[in-house]
Amino acid sequence: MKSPAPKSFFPGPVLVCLPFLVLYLITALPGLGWRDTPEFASTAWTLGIAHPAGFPTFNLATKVLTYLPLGSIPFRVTLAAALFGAAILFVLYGLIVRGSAIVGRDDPDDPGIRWAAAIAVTVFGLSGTLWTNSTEPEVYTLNTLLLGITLYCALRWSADGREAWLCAGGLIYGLAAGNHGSVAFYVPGFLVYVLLHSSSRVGRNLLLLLFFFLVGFSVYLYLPIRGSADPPLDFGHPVTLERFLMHITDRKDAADHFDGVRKGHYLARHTWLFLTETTPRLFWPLGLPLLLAGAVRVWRRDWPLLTALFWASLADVLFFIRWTSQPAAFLPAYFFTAFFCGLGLVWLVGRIEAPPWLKPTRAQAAGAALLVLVLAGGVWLVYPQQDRSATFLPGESFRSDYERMAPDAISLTGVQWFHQRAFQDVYRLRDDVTAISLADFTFPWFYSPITQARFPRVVVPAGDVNYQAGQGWFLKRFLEANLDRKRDIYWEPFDLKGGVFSRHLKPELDLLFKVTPRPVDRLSPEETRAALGRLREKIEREIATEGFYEAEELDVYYVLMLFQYAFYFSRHGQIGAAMATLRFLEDLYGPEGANRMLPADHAALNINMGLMLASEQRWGEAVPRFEAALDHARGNFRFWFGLGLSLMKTGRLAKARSALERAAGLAPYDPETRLYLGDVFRLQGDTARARAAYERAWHLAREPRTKMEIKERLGELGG
Amino acid sequence: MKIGRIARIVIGLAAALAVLAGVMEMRAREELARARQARDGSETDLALKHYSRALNWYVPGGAAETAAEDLLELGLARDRAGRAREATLALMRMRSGLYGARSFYLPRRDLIERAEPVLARLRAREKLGPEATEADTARQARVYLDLMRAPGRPAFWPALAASAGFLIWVVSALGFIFRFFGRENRVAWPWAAVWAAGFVLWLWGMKWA
Repeated sequence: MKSPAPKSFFPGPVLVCLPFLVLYLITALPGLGWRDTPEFASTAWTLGIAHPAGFPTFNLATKVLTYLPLGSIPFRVTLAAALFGAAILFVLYGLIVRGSAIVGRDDPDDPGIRWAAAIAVTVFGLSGTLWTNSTEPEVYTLNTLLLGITLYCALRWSADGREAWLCAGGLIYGLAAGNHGSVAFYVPGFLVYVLLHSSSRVGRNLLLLLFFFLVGFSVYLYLPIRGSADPPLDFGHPVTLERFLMHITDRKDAADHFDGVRKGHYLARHTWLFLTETTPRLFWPLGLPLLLAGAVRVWRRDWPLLTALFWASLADVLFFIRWTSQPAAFLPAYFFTAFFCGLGLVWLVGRIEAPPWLKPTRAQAAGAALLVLVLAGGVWLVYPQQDRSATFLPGESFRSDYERMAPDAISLTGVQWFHQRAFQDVYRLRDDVTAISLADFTFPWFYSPITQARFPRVVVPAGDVNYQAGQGWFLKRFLEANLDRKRDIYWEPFDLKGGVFSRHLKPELDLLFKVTPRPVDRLSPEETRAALGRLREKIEREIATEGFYEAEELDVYYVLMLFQYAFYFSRHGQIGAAMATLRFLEDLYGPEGANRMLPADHAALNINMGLMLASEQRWGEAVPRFEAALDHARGNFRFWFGLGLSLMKTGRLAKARSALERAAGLAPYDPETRLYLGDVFRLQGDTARARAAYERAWHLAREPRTKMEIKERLGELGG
Repeated sequence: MKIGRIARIVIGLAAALAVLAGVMEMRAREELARARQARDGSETDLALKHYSRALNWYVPGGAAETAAEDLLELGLARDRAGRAREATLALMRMRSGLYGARSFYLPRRDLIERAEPVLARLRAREKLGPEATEADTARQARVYLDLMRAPGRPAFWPALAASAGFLIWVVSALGFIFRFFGRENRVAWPWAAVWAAGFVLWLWGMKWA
C-alpha cells in the first residue's frame, strides 16, 4: 500500500490579500482628503452627482458601506476604497493563476504557480500606487477592480469559449464605464481582443457584448433621475439630454483631456519624469526583466491579449500623464504590468529545476519564508510613508473659517466647495449657512443654475442666469439682493485677478473675504497687516502642529489662495503687501520651502513679482524674475516685454533691444512694445530706427494718452 | 465560487473589521485622553480639536461616545460661564461629529437633543446682538432649532433601496448570465425576475431618496 503524497501547501488568495486589507484600513485617511475626496464622501452618502462623468457606479457601490456603524462617513467611503484595493489583489492572484496556461504552465493547481502569484500580489500590494489609492475616498481602486474582473472574464471566455464569460465581461465593463469615463479609451484594445479570439459567430459575440455592456452602462440612468430629485451636491444638473451628454463626455474640461500629450514639450518632460521618478526605482532591476519575460511569453501564445493590455496601459498613461508626479496615478497600467510580471515569475519558477536534496516541504517552507520576508520588509520600508491615519488637516484646515461664519451667512466658494458641501451634507455643520459654488454663477451651463428652489434660504433674483454669466451679471444682482437683506456674504480667495468684485471684498476670518456693500477704495495699512498676520499665523500653526508640509496636494489650495491675496493687495494699491504675500508663498513652496511648486506656478510667481517690482521701479530686482519666468515659457509676450523694459531701465540696452524685439515678434500689434523699442533705439543713438518704431507704435495705438506720448517722443527726435 | 471559499472570505472580512474596530477604539481613547488633558489645562481650543478627532473614530459604545458626553458638558459649562464662542464650538462639534458618524441610526441622539436648543439660542443671540429682547431671541432660536431638526437628505429608506437595489440587479444579472448561457440547462428565469425587481427597486430608490 502506497503512502499518500504529502499535501502541498501554498498561500491562497484570501490569505495573501487579508493582511493588505488590514494594512490599508489601519493606514487610511481618518476623514476628508483633498481635491475630489470630500466630493465623493458627500455624493456617496447623499447619492449626489459628482463632477463629470458623475461616477454613479462608485456612489452606488460605496453607499452600501456607509451604513456600517464604524468611524465617520468619509472614513467609510475610504473603507470601501480599501476593500476594493484588497479585492484588486484577489483578482490579480486569480488572473496570474488563470493566465499561467498562456506562459506554458498548464496545471493551475501547481504550487509553484500559486507561490509565484502570491509573491507578485504581495509586491504589487506594497506599491505606493495601490496603497495610496486604497487609503483615500477615491474612485480608482473600484475602477481597476472592475477592469481586472473584465480581464478575468475575457481570459475565461477565450480559454473555454463559454458565452457566459463574454456576457459577464460586457456587463462589468459597462459598470466600469459608469465608474470612470477613461475606460472608454480602452475599448479598442478589448474589442480587438474579442474579435481576434472569436473563431466563429463574430456577429453574435459582438451583439451579446454590446447588449450586456449597455445593461451595465444603464447605471448612468442615475444621473437624470438623481438630478431631478435635486440632491444637495448636483454637479452639472444632468436632467436634459444635452446636459447629460455634456456631463458624461466631460465637456467642461474637454480642453484638458490629453493636453499633456497635445503640448509636445510637456509630454517630453512628463514622460521623462514618468520613467525616472514615477515608475518605482525598484521596478527597473527586478520588475522589468519579469515584465519582459511575461510579455514575451504572452506574445508567443496570445498576442491579442498583449496588444489589448498594452493599448489600455498606454491610454491610461497618456490620459493621466499630467499627473505623473502624483503617487496615485496610473493604477490600471500598473495593474496590467503586475499581471505580466506575475506571469514572468510563473514562467521563471517553472524553469527552475529543484535540486534533488530539496524536498517539497523544504521548498514550501523556503517560499513561505520568502513571502513573509517580502511582506515584512516591504511594510517596514513603506508603512511610514503610507500611514495617513493621523492626517486630519484636510478636514480641519478650512473648517475653522466655516464654523466662524456669521449666522445665516452665504458662502461663495471656489476650490473649497467640495469641503463645504461635505461639512453640510455629511456632518450637518452649520445648517444655517448657504454654500454656493461661484462656478454655478459663472458657468451655469456646465454646473448647476442658481434657482430659488435650490437655495430657499437666500434671495435669488429674477433674471437669466446665463446672461453675461462670465462677467458676473447675475452674480452682481444676487449680491445686491442679499446684501440688502443684511446677509453676511463670504468669498473664497478665488478668481480675483481680473474680477470686478475684488473692490467689494475685505479680508475676513483666516482665509476668506467678506463682500462689502460699498467699494473698498483703499485698504488701510492696519487692515493689510492684520490680514497678512492672520494668514501667516494660520499657516505657521499648521506647519508646526498639523504636518502642513507632509500633506499632499495642500499646495494646490494654498498656492491658489495666496496668489489671489497678492492680486487683491495689488489691486488695492498695497504693492508691498502683495510682494510680501508672494515671497511668503515662495518661502512655503519654492526652493527654500517644500520645493514642490509646479513650474507653471513658479513662472506665475516670478512674472507677478517682476511686474510688481517694475511698478515700484525696482528694475534691477525685476530682471532676474522675468528671466526666471522665461525659463518656463519662452513664448510668452508679457515675460519678454517685462524683461525688455526692465533691462532698458537698468541701462542694458543691447539685451533690452533683443528682448523687446522678441516681444514685438510675439505681439506684433502691441503699441507699447514698439514705443519702448523706439526708446531703446533712441538711447543707442539710432534715430532712424527709433523714428520707425515710434511711427509704427503711433499707427497701432488706440488710446489718446498713448498717442500723445508717442507724439511727444517723435517731437523730441526732431525733423 | 465554492461555499468554502465564500466562507473564508466572509470570515476574513469579519476578522479585518474586528482588527480595525480595535485599532479605532484605541485611537479614540488616545484622542480622548489628549482632549481631557488639554481641557484640564484650560486649553479649550486644543481640547475641542482632540474631542472632534475622538468622535471621528466612532465605534458603537466606545470612547467616541464618551467624547461626545464630555463635549456636551463642556459646551453647557461654557454657556453657563457666558463664554459663548467656546460653548457654540463645543456643541457644534459634538453635534456634527455624531451626525458624521450616523449610519442606519444616529448615535447618541439624546445628547444631540440636549445640545440643539442651547446651540440655537446661542446662534440667535449672536445674530440679534445683546440688545435683542428675550422674545425676539426665542423666536429666532426657534427658527434655528427647526433648521437643525429638519430631516436630512437623502431619505433613509429610498437611499437604502437605491443602493441595495443596485447590488441586487447587478448580482442577479450575473446569476442570470451564468444560468442562461451556462453549459447545463439550468432554470434562469428566477434570476431574471430578481434582476427586474432589483432594477425597479433601484429606480424607485433613486427617485425618492
